[in-house]
Amino acid sequence: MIPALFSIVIGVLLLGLLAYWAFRGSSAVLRAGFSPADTSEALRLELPPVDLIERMLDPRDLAFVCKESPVETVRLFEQERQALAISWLRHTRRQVGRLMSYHVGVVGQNINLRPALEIKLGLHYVRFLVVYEVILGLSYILGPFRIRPIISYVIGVTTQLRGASEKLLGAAQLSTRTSAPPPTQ
Amino acid sequence: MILVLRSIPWMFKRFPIFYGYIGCVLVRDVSAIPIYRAWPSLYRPFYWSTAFVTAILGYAVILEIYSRSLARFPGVARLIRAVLVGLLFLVAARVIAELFGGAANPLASSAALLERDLRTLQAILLGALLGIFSVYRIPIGKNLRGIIVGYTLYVGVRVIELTAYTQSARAVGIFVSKVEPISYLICLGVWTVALWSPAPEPITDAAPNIEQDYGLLLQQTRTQLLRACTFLTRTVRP
Repeated sequence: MIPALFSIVIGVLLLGLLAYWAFRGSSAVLRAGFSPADTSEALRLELPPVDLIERMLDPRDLAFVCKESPVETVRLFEQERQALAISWLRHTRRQVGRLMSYHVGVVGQNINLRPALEIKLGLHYVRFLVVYEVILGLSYILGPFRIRPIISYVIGVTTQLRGASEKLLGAAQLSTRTSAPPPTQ
Repeated sequence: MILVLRSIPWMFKRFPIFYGYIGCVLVRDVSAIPIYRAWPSLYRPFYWSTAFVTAILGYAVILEIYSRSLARFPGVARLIRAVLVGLLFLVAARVIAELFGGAANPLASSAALLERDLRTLQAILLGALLGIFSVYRIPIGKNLRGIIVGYTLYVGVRVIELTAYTQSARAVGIFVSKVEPISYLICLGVWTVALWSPAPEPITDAAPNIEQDYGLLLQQTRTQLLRACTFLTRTVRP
């Protein structure tokens, strides 16, 4: 029974994947070449300053507003901070999406592509997406101020994964060459 | 027949294995009619044995799809080769487990079950190909695209049909066996439309010189991804 169920699931998944691939449109398939400007933009990864975000989500602000203001003001304050938090989360997601899109677009034609490293990179990307979705979902449900204790578990897991990734990369490789300014004469 | 007669003069050189496959299926179908009429008792073994042969030939079609679609993408071709080899190892492991696992009837108890297993593996291989086409946005020309769509549709429907045929009650089995001619007709329609006239393969621009160094690009992508992940987790740290 299990092999039969497996076959049915595979067949249905294949038809679903075929429908997705066939109907996604030729515009998505026929991509244009990447210019040096695209390269620079994709690899720069402009993220908002962490200090600003930390300041924005500082629980002391919430405590102060709760203490000094009526309930309506507290609600408004939380809504605004939630909107900001969700906005920077989406911004980060877009940036990383563009980076990965650029990467897969460029390496396809590269003879030196190493499958194992590509799969590892794919897993890193999946990990990022999982963290992103968890934080985004919790931000919607609980608000940005209340997710911090809950997220500690997620951080523990990702820190372990990050340690493995850092070993791979090496501490000296953390600076990006393309985003650096061009050498002066 | 229309497909073969219409496009074989100029398409055979381009997709020889696919046309060989279509030719085999055509010969099988044409020869099945007199067998069905003259020797009905022979029809069943004839059908299942030839179905098994065409399922084997299907692997060659997948190989042709793979080599044609990724000819200009050596990097992705290497990646998918690794994925396909991994999948084949998994299937080989499963076959060995079945052979030595004490099963009363190893691998499959009938031609239908064996074909189902072969088609399921084809479905997995085609799924891996489609997944990598989607992720790496491999541009595919109209002709090859038609072959892929038609063949994948056929394999997907065939897997479901064979599973239902081998597992369910007789009435359901008869019903699903009626699905095969319809799905095959749709596939032939897709192939006929796609291969009606030759279409050039899409031209892709070369990668910019700055990214010729794959190691550098990989390192940069991973570094930036790591930065983004660190950014997310650091800002919500309690």
